[in-house]
Amino acid sequence: MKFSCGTRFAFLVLFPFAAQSVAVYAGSFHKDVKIHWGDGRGKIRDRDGKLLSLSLDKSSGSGFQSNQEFLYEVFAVAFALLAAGAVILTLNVLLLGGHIIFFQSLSLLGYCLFPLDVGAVICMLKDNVILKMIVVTVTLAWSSWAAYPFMSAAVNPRRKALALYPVFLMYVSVGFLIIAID
Amino acid sequence: SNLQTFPPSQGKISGGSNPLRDADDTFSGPGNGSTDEPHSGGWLHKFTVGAYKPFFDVDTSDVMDRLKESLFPFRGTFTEKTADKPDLYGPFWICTTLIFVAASIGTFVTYVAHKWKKQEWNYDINLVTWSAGVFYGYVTIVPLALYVVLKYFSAPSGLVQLFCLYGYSLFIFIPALCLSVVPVEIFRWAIAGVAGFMSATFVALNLKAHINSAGERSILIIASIFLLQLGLAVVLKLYLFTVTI
Repeated sequence: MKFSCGTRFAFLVLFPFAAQSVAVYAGSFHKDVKIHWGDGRGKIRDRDGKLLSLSLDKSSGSGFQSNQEFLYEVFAVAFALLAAGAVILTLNVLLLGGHIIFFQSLSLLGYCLFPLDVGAVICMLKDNVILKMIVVTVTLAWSSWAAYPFMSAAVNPRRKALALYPVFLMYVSVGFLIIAID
Repeated sequence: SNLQTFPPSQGKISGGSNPLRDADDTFSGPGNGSTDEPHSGGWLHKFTVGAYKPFFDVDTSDVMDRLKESLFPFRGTFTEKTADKPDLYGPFWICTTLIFVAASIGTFVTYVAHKWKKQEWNYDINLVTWSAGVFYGYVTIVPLALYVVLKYFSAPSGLVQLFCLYGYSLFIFIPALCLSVVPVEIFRWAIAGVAGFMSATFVALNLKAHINSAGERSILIIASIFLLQLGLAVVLKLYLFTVTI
């Protein structure tokens, strides 16, 4: 599938914010892992959770597993959402009887994502939920306002809302991902 | 073109003698073929945008009317109103909105529950993928199965009409999910029950008039689709709103 400059750019900017959440930090075994099997042969030894022991004897061994989900899954969903979303939105306009050029629309929807990228970077810097919600609301409004003239001009005025609502929905779901990811 | 199923009860075959019209203008129904390329490409034609345009021939006011209809299940007039212009816009975007609302409300509920007990919380992306599977799957598979069953019992209904009916029947779940944020268990069950009941009645009543011709089996069919819809509401409530810390 060909990606326009707009979506490539959006992808390049979203990648660091997703990658940041993988950063290793000094944690404690109590929080990060759980003893997965072993019937008592695996133990987290001290109160701070800095020492974990696994032992192996004649009958069996032991093991532990991380408490975290596979983090790259979030990135995959974000990327798939944006790529598929741009294509589906363009198809939506075409099906409603509108007149747009397919790749122009993909490109525009990708570029209009830029304010949300700025918002994501700001949210990365300061981990406060209220601040994140304000930043995301402002940048979401900005992104939607940027995409509005193009999308509304592309369709019959009686169907304007039908073409614009999905654009808004896509940007809202991106905004939600930004707030929800730590 | 004759690519779409044409329910015999609808009868009229229109469109063969229409004067030249712009393809963007009113298609008065699924049976009305496009004025250009009636058979070019054969099965490949199904992969063009033009093949599906007739199903998106609705204005904002039409969609709003249909949404309002779906909120009043006891009228039973939905199928008449959408018989000649069933749309796929409503079902697709209602499902997509539902997926988003379900995932975000489900996430919000677990977030609040974890923060309340001062526990670590991590975003669970499975909510999104799971709700996508459930909603898209339900609206695709159940009408398809119903279409086959109805054809078997000689009371055929157009496939697109069925998709349209099922898609709009899910609209009531959007406000229901929003209301379910309230952390009172009884209230959540009540909301799930009411929404499931309204949605199921909507589908059942609108289908009833149509399939009475199937004879004594029609009660069985109606009962099973009613229960399926209720089942969906229960599954939603259980998966999204049962939070274990």
